[in-house]
Amino acid sequence: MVYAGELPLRVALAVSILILLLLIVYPIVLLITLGSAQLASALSVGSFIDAIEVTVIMSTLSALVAIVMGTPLAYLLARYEFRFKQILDSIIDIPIMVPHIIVGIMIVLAFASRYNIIFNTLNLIAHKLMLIDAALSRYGLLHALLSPVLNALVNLLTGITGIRFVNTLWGAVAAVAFLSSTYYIRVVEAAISMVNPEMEIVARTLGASPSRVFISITLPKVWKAMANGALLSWARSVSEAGALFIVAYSIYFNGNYIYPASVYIYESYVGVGLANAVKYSAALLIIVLIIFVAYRVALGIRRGG
Amino acid sequence: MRLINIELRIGSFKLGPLSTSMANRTYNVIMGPTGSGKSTLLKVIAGAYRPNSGSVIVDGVDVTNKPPELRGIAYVPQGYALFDHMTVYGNIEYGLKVRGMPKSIRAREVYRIAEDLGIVNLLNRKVNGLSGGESQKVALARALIVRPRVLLLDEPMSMMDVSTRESLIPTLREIPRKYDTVVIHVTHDRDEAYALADKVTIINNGQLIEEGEPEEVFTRPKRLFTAQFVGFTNIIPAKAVKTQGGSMVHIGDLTLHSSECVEGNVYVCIRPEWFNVTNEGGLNVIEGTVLDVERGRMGYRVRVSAGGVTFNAVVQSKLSSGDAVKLSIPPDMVHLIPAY
Repeated sequence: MVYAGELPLRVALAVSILILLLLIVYPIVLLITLGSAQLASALSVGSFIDAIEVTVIMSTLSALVAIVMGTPLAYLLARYEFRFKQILDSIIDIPIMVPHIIVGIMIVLAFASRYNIIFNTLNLIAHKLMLIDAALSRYGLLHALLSPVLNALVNLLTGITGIRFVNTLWGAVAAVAFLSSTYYIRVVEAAISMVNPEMEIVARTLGASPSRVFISITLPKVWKAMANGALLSWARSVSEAGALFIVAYSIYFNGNYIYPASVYIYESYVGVGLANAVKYSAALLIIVLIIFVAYRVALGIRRGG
Repeated sequence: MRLINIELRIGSFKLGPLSTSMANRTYNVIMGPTGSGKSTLLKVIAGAYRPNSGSVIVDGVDVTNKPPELRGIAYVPQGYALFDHMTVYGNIEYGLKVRGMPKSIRAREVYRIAEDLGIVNLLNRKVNGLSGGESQKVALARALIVRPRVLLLDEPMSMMDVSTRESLIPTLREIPRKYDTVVIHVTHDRDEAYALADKVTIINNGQLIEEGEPEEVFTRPKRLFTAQFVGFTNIIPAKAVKTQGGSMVHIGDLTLHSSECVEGNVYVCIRPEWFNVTNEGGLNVIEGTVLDVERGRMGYRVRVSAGGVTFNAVVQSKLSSGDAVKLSIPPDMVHLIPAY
């Protein structure tokens, strides 16, 4: 036990604060100081505003994916012991460990290459359905009855397999959702495990259905953590560059190809130079911080949810 | 309320097979040491655990495969699990609200039950600042308002000081008849069980050891474990021989008479408070030396060595170690449990 004020603690603290200042505070302060003077100039560039817009939309969609995918998983992990729990736990941690460029490669491989087993299978099924439809054309009434159904199915399947992933919002969201959901799941899992499970049992015995229990007992206690987790995962998506380099270097949106914000800044750095990149970096950072603070104030989230 | 051959395995712990029944309008106490499975049994009845086999019957209906909300059972867990994001009113109202009852009826019912339990003054309070006794009453009100067929109480007094505990006993005692329900109360506290129960069930290692009226279980236990658990601190193996009107046992150099008629190997069981200090000789008088004395709530706990055996007794006169003492025990208070 070291008492506050004792020498070893003071030395250790001094070292850690020095590193903190040097590594984190100093670069941020410098960037914002240099860049904030040019904030207005950065925000007057239409292509940069487009980049921020598409990035915010992409990140928000990705946060929604995290909520839909992550909430039941977080509940499962927080509440139950089951076989393969360790495996599920590890799968959820994978995105943190995989290099982001590789995530981009995986998304392209899985959804935008000839190895896309899912789309290939769906295409095959659609093809078979069309053959069945053609074969049925000899049987008047049966064909008249079944043909609309078959056609609707074929349209649905080809509609799905028609989704493009490279340089689209779909691909960008898939890549950043892959990388950011983990943060949401872990925050929400921790929050749910803090809710006394006996409360849920009591609520059930008092007549509430499982969904009613979640909405009336669990949710009021974890929604702030959910919002906090969604914000974390949102911020993680805004900052993504590596995976987007592969999947969506530019995103086709509203009839134009638009760079995601991080790619935009990379382009400005490589193409124009440091001063230019600093201008946009500071602008993006300030906007993200404003959204961050406004969101937290609006929801009354303190640290740790 | 009946349990038929309930069996549940959780990891290496096995509950049951266990069968019992509990009559309506009675207060039933399940007693057992920590880890004996008594809370798990409550959760099986509540529907939080599904048994591997066996049935839970409530009011003649098999509810084994029904979810908790359709069983007609209310549950007050250890620590009460009050909904701490709601007021006291919100907690009590909850069961009616999820049933879709109109607001005016809910308000009437909440006030009625709060008045019954003397907690009207708490209704607008947050639950976080409540005392142990207040929390328990709120939890009871929340459970009773749905008029359960069975009310489950898991260690309801464990978070209270002694005086609050004693003041709540009459409130608990009248619940089965007042609310027309079966109360099943789990505890490891024998005073609590003795004060409250119409029927006591002893559980150990997931198995039902013994059940019966408290007078029976506490004074004439049938099983050795029960005797140990309900406070027989004198349990001595001996051989019994039948005599006219009872039996005779030899312990060390002593001979004791019991009015129970048993033959063969037995455990002689005597509660420490059943001994009397006497000056006279006669039947069942033990002459010995005080080994040590400890002050207790019910009197002085003394250990007395006599005839090569050590007895534990609770006496009212102050003795010191080394004193010679005569303890008498009436033959009808020498309880014999056959040893197998």
